[in-house]
Amino acid sequence: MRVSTSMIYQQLTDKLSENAEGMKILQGQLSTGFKYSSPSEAADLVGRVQAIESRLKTLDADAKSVSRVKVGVDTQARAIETAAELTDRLKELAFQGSNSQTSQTILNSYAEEVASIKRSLVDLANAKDADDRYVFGGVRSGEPPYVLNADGTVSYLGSGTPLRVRVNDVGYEDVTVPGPSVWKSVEKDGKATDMFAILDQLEAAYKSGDLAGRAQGLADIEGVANNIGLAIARTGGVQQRLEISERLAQETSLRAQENLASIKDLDFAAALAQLQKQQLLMEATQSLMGRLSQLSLLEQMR
Amino acid sequence: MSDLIGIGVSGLSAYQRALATTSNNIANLQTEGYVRQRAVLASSAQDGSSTISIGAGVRFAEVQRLYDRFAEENLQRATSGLEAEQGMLKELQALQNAIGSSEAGLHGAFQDFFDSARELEASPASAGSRAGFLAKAEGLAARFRALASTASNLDDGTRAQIDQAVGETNTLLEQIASLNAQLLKRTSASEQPMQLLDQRDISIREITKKLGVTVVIGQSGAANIYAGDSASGAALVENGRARVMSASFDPYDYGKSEFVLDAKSQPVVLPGIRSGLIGGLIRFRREGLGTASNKLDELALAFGRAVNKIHRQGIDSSGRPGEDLFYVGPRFVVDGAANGGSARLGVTVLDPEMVKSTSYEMKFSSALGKWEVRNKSTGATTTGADSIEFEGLQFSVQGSARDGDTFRVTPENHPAATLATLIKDGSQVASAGKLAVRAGVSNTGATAAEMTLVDAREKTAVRSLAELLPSPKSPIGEQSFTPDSETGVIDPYQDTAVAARTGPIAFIPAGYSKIALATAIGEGSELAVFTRDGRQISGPKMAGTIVDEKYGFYAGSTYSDAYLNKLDDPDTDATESYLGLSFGRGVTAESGRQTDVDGQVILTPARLFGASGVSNSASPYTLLVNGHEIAIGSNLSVAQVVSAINAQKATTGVVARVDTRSTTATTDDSLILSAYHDVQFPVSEIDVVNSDRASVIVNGAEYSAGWRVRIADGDLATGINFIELNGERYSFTSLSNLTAQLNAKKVSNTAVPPVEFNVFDATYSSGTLTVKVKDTGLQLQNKGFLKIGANSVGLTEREDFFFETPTSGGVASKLVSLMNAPQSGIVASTFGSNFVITNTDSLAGNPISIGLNTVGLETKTYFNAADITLDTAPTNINGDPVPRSVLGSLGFRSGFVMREAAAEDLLVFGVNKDGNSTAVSLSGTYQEGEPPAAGLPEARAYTLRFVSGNYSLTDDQTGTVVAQQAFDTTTRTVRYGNWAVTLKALPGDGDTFTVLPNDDAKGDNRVIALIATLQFDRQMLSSGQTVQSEYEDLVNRIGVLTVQAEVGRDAQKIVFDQARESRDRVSGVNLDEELSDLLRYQQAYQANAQVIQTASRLFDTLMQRL
Repeated sequence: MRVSTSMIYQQLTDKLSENAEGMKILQGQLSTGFKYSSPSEAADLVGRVQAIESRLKTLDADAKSVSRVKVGVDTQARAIETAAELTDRLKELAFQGSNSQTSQTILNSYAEEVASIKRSLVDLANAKDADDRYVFGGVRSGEPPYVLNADGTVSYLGSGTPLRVRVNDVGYEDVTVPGPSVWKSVEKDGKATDMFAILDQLEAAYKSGDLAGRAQGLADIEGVANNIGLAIARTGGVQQRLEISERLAQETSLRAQENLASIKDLDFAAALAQLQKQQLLMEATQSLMGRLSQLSLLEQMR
Repeated sequence: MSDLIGIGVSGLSAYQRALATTSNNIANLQTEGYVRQRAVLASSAQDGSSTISIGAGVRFAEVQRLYDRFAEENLQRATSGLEAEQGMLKELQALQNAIGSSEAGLHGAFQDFFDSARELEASPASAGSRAGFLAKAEGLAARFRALASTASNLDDGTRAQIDQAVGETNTLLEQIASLNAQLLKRTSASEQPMQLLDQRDISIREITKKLGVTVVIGQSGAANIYAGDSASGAALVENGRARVMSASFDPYDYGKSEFVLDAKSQPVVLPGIRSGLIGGLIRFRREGLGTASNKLDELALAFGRAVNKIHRQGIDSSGRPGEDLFYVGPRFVVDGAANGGSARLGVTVLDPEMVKSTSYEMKFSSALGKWEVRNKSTGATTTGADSIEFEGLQFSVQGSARDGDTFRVTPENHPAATLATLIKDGSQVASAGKLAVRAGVSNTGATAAEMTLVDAREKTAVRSLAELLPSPKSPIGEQSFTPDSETGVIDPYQDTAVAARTGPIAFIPAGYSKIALATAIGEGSELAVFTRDGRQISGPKMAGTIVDEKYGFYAGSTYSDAYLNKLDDPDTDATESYLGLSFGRGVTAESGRQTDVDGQVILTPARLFGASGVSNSASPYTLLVNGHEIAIGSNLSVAQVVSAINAQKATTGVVARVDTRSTTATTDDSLILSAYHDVQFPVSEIDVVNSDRASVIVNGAEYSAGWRVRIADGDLATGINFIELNGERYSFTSLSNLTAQLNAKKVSNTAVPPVEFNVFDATYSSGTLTVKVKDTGLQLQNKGFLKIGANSVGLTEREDFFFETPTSGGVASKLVSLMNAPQSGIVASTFGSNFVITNTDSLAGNPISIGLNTVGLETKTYFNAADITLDTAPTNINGDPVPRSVLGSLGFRSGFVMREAAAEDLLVFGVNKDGNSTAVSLSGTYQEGEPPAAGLPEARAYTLRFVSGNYSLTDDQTGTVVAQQAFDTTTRTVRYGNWAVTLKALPGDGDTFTVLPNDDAKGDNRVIALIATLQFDRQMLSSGQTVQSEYEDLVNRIGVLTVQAEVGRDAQKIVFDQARESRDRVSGVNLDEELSDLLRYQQAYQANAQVIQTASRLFDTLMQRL
């Protein structure tokens, strides 16, 4: 086959350029540690890489959210557990107070203690977490949700909507909850009576010595204790879910990092071998160029 | 012998030329486009006379151009293909480097934005989180702008490359046309100078680098060049004529461009250029740049609008309503400079949510008398007259257009290029919900609930009032009082009678005000008005079954007549009406507002059209004039109604009269209610002790009364002075002299009958002359009047009424009598301690002009400043509804009237005498508007109460139960207005929730949480993808294009190399081969020289023998 002289040199020049380009890319890869140094070098991969990077950031944000939620939920748990201890004492008082033989003097002291416990419960219902949120005020978490009125009654001024925070793609947890969902009212005489009114009535029964009222108080306190028990269970459940969410986020993050590394990170051994190969090719092409120039008929004719 | 020498010479000559040909090949070894040449030798013709054949030598037959047309065409095609792929790849790589970069792309910026939203979601009270969120929002916007800028730069760059390529192509086409002209001088290509052919091929190959062409070579070697893959394409060069190519680009859509031949003479649009550098760049612009830019704009619009929509639902940390977080755009620019008509186009955004970032073209057709608006991207069109609503925009034309006039409406900028945050202070981030819900402390069932803002509840479509009565020409109080310039007639109440359907006639959209709806007189039907929650507020009571979803009521609504025809009791302030709404069944009218030439707003009288007849009511009824009740007796005429109104004018401030239009029908008569307005000043301002007189100029006429005129010595001029009093001239040199002259006129007895002469009582003391008109005891025709004429003592010429010993009351009384003179047009009176000036009843409502005065009034025109309203009380004094026949018999149209705007839709039914829904002929007026903010459900507090499986919703401010229905235990959701409350658990009997505006926004995260969830929102984009997925798709799409271009470039490179090799195989110069030829021809040359030498020797031998 006939080959023109310029074609021979053109092909050699092209090969030299290709080799130089290959060397440049390999040097870029080795200096950055990535399979590509600019998106256009891995045009079909960058979309996926961006998605994984964003996913990793989302998982990181999930972890942060979980820790923020924990602050609120742990405060709720501590407040409710303390309330449970107070309720236990209330049960003791109610049991002893229901005894018809208990003297008025003792009943008066019981009344004082019940009033004191009520104030403590109001304080617990106004508990704040480390992020300065009233954890039983719902989304109205900047102001004390429970107010002790001058007449001794307690009003709820918080929100009926919990302050919810997303802890993963689909899951939300409540950092603060509406107070009435924890400090629930008790069904009494066919109508709802709030927890603090129950204590007021118990205190009044002790002060007046009303035996029927004291007996009713025992049943009412039982109801209060049951509600607080339910709240403990609910809060415990939330804490458990948060732990699971945190663990899941960590595991998913690890897998995503592995995935990203497999796409993006350079295999140094393979790259170095490739570099060596490229160098050899370069040298061979340059050598070929020299030899071809010596094979000229003109040289033979001299 | 001679033959031998001849043969040798022929050889020498032939090989000399062959050597020259070879040398030429060697010399052009590196010449671009050079086609190798070959010497062709042939044996010379024999001498045919001999029987023995001996050759006659060699001849140089030709220089052959070693040219393979097929190989050349292949190379041209391969060049086009390779240039296209290379050009496209280079630009795609630049684009991919921008959008695919973690630092410059959007994916990471979106992620940062959502992460910062979540950070704020977790700590809504944190100022740092708020600032961080804003910073990330601006970062995202800046990333959009940077990418838009990159796209713009790529647009500029590729546009410049294309323009340059087009320019070079035009030069090359010219060159080929010029070469063709040379080539066409010979008929055969073989006769052509080879350099010309080489030059032709070089130029063609250069053109193929710019764009793909088809070349047709003629017999003469001239090349005709056609755009595209076949000779059926547009001719770029034909024989000696080249056409000029030009490129134009859509200023907005990067993907659109057009190539035109001979744009300035006979334009021909070139079909799509697919190869060559231009083809590659065009493809990049269409598939890469255009796609990316459009996608960026779509993302910016959709994302910005979605965030803004949510953000507007919230309140910031100070409780202020959320505003737009992002500026989204786009704004539009209009170009119609080339139009022949005078039409001007204005484009305004009606619905920012619907506006697309696209260009429009609006063209006028005089045959249709309409404009057509076309979306240039989608091709969607609509037509209309001078005001067209299309895709969220309003196109308004003013002026006259000519056929074919066209406006181009283009977005001023790409939305991605202008996306920016509008809020700069973290405290303005509306992270909290507008509404809060609070559970009752005694609730036994549900204790927690979610409160969200939602779209309006679904409802069966009912036509709106605007559809039913499309031309509300005269909203209440806005009637024109300007007579028609041609007819001189004031346009009466022009309403539209529409045959309405059974069922709801229409709904009155929230925000409509000044509503007056009436059925035809004598039709015997009335109107009933409901809320969509089933509360009937006006009209005859209807059966509860009318409250049905199919009639436009909300699902589950129940009927209530608790507020039917009830108005608030003004005495007790108790709210008895529906949400305190004020409305009536009957008639209504109010003052209109007009602007005078000075731009001052003037209140015009209230006018009630159709005042005629006599009431047929046997029972009395009540009108409300400015809210004051006026009892109207039974069977009164319109004139008597007027009297009844006017009897109360001091209380109501309103005067009524009937404007009878004798030239037209009685229905054009009207009852006009004008302001009984006045100008007042305290009577004490009439200072009779320190002032000589009191005067007021009213409507240009002066009214005055006084008791003396004083002239001091210092007022006199030197020499003889003069003064005219009551028409008589007195000349004097001193005041003493004048005193004497005046007192000479004094008359001390009574003259009967009235005598016309001057009566003076002048005193001169301490250098001052006091002249008094003496009227006590006199009966004079000009009683008490003193007319001061020309004088030299500085007195104003005037005529005053004079008292001898005036008192304030006396002067005031005199002024009253003067002003109440017939034809004065005004009425004066003293009322308590005030002096009151009003217009006469016939001129009631007109302005009162006050000029110079001594009573402390400001000199100006006093307009009526009080609105006038007239309504029919919904019930008469017995509490019974007023039969509309009463008002009808008086000539008034009556029905449902409501001046204020309701914050919710109202459904209107026609009702027959049996209380059933019926078709009616409706007329009426209304004014469109926005619902009052204070009335919106999101601005009010409600109590939600659950009893026996039902719930009721009560407006806390008014106590109105606005909705009542069964509670859906499946969804546990109550919806009202634009909010929804979803209970966490089923409610107990008696459980309550309060829904109220949020008063503690700092710790609330509900709105920012919604913004954070936009990360997973698949409704935002038409593709059903999230914003990040959509962007990822874009990156992948550009990535695939880039990879395809790389593969294409590599493939085209192989094709190109092969084509070049094929071409060089034939036409390329091989140095070894040429050197070999050189040796060969040199040896042949030497051999032929040897032949000649041999012949010479033979000749010498012969000569020696001889």
